[in-house]
Amino acid sequence: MTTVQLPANLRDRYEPLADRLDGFDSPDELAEYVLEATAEEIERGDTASAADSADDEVVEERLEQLGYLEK
Amino acid sequence: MSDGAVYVFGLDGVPPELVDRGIDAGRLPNFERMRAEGTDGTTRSTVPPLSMIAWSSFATGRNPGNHGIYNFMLKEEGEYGTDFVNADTLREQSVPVWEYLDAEGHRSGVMNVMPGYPPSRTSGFHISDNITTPSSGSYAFPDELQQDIEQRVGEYDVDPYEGYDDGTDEQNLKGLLDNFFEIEKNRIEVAKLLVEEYPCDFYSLVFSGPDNVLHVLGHVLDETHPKHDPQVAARFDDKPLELLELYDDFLGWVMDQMDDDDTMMVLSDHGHGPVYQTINLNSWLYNAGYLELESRPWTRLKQFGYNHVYDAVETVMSELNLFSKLKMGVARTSGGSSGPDLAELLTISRKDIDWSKTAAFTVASGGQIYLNTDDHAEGAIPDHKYDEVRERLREKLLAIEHPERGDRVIDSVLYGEDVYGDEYADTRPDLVCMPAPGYQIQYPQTMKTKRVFADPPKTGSHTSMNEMHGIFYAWGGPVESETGVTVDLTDFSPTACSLLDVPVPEEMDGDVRDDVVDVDVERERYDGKVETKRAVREVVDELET
Repeated sequence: MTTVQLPANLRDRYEPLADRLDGFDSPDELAEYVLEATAEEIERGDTASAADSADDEVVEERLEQLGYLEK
Repeated sequence: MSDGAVYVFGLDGVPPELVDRGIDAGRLPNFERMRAEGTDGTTRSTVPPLSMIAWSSFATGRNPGNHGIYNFMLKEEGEYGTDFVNADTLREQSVPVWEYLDAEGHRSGVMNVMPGYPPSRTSGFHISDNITTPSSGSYAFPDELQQDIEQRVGEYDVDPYEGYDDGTDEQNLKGLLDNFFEIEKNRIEVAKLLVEEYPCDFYSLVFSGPDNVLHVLGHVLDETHPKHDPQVAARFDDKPLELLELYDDFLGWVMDQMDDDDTMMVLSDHGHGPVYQTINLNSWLYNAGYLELESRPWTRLKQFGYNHVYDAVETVMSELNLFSKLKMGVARTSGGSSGPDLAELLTISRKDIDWSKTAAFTVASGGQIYLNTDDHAEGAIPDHKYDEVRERLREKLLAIEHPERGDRVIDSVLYGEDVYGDEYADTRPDLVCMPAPGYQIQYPQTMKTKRVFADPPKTGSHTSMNEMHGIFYAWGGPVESETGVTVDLTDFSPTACSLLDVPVPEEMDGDVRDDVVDVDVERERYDGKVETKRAVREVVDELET
């Protein structure tokens, strides 16, 4: 098994990030998590449409129909 | 210890006594089985028990102060305006349990948990909710799921409230109920598809049908309701139980699918009870001298017109059965980019309030009051006056009596810090009024200053203090045999984490209910993993586009 070694400049950036982010004990652990998550995301291949913008009028109307809001 | 799948089914608004009645009548055999073989009890809702707040606490395991969703709409910090809540609001301020599970490598399936739009893109699937989803566009992640549902089950109605009218007319009521039943039958088919063909470790599927049906049947189910008609009741009073029978069948089907180490929990986010009268808190605050309107001529003219002329128009139009259509027409022109804002032009709205002379106000239904402290743009209350003003207002609120019925309207007035925690003073309400049974605290966006009390906007029922408790049932291998437990909405997420052998995030306020399920409890802080996952997802998105 090949171990990926972080270049020094990247390690310098990952060190404070691993300190700041709860759940990681070292920059290596954070880097491994990022690589694994990236591979998972790409492998999943799920597609997602861009979200439509919030439609306040529709929400308002639904809340009014349910009696939570009144004009 | 268990790491089987966890199934959580939400039946929005089901009161415990309705299930009890169904079990006693032998009509809910699977609820009866859960009671006999597993754990049953009640679920304690949030304060106030509104679905948007309640499901947010369920999803995050946090109290409303900690997840920041206080209502369907949120007041901006130090401002008077509000924004509607959506799933991004929840994600910005908190973390739903499915993101923690995703960060630990588990798949989650979510359907119709408020606020659900835009859908989460964690591993598994996510179908958005009935309130925040736009009428058009994608309601499910991944896209393929939406196509699959529509091909195999049919249209998934994201807007069940379309055409949801008053419901007083018998034929209209039948039409509404028929429509809700159709939607729920369809949702149950969707749920079966999801459970059968979209394998996940954690399912959280919510059905809104009970809440929709109970909202329009308050006057039918309560024989003492002023609008109760025995003939109408004879025709429709069995509908809530008929609906529960559909879910009972579905739960039995799920039980057959479950493995020995799987767990199922069934809850409702609040109960239901009849409403006889509503109180408009802003109108009351105006009449009590806590809220002032602008003195400009146009506001004064509108105040006269809205209080007097509008009522005459309403009476005539209502007799012609045209008023609700006119009202919706006016509402639709409100705030749009084109044409005049008729609601603002004709009625007294928030824009008519003189903030520099206002001490207290509300921004949504549910009884939450904000004091206009001097950290607001036109704040009128300095720090040293805060306690005195708040205490006096609280006493006056508790003393409100209905002018004709003569009974107390507000059951209790709670301090914001007691309900939501001390640390959220900048965003939380200062007081929370809980209505007495039979009353609903309403928030008309427009207010008639002479009308503090009114009939309910719908003939149906809404949440109140007496309806703070929903149902709770649990069944499956890890479930203990208990009865009469009270589970808080914040307990579900930590308990689900433990069942999946995932550390409970320190940020969750709820407890792992090891009296209900046989689990070991481990707590950890790992929000950083969620943040990392979110960042990775954004980077991959950019790479792919």
